[in-house]
Amino acid sequence: MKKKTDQPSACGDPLEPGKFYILNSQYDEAQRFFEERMASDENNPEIHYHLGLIAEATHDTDRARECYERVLSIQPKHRLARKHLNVLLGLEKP
Amino acid sequence: MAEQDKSRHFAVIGLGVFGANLVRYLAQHKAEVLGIDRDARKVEQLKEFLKVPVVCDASERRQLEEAGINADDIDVAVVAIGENVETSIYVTLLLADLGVKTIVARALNNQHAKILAKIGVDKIVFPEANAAEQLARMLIAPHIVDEFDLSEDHSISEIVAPDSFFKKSLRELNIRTRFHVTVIAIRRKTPMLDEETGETDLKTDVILTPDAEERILKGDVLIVAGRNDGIESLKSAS
Repeated sequence: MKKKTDQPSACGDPLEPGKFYILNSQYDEAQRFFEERMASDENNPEIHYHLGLIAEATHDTDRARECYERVLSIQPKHRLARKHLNVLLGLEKP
Repeated sequence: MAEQDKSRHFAVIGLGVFGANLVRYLAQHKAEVLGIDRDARKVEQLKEFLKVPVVCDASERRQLEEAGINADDIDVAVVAIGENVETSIYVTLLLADLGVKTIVARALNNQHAKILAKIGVDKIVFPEANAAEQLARMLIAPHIVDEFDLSEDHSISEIVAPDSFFKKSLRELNIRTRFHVTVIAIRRKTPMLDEETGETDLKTDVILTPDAEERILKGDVLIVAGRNDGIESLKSAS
């Protein structure tokens, strides 16, 4: 695992700019990005997963839990969302 | 702790939810645990965590002796019986009589705790009451993550950093002078990228004895030690 420090890239992964903001702890920008994407792609589990990460990193645990639950309702086998939700619910150690 | 526990031998009597979790936790720390319950299924379920699994009636002195409960082989015995106060007290007395060095007992209510104290139990635990207290604190004050009493007047408390602290250094915040508490650590969720899978994730960093120039970020949890009145003032800072 390594912290990413390079610039956001518009090519390839369409969510790359939002991930870039998260990796640089620019959570307000990241939240805006993913919420804008959600308006046109509300069933994309990756959007909800990253919104969950933002909420968790900023200690909004209720919102984080809602986001991870939404991910799992769309994609029940999403490994990381399951892991994060279990930790938030106290079912698993961080 | 793990090294210390390796050399100590534990017995857990009563393998209900509390006893079973205690066994798992001790085993995770490489401790050797002898587990006793009358219910063979409970013992079977914990077999992989127990050095010595025993199905027997712990209120029978002979059966405890046969299980290996004695002063030489057991350093700490935990009476985790959770349903019957009389059995818990009787088993505790038997353990004392068998010379077990340290006895820890789970109390089901205050009266039970008083009796356990009178018969010389070394430590009494109230798992339900402790969990309820912790939950109540969390529900009443969601910005407090956890709290440990050091004395009647002093605590260590984990507090979500107030918004007014964001992007300011500890020096600028002058917490020690303003609130008479010391920030002993900062817990922070740091975003990470798994280069193999491309997945974004978070890891938890703990900054111990942070430098005065350390800046507080959104979502930081401050671990502070000090007088309770100072901690209360800090909690209400916003």
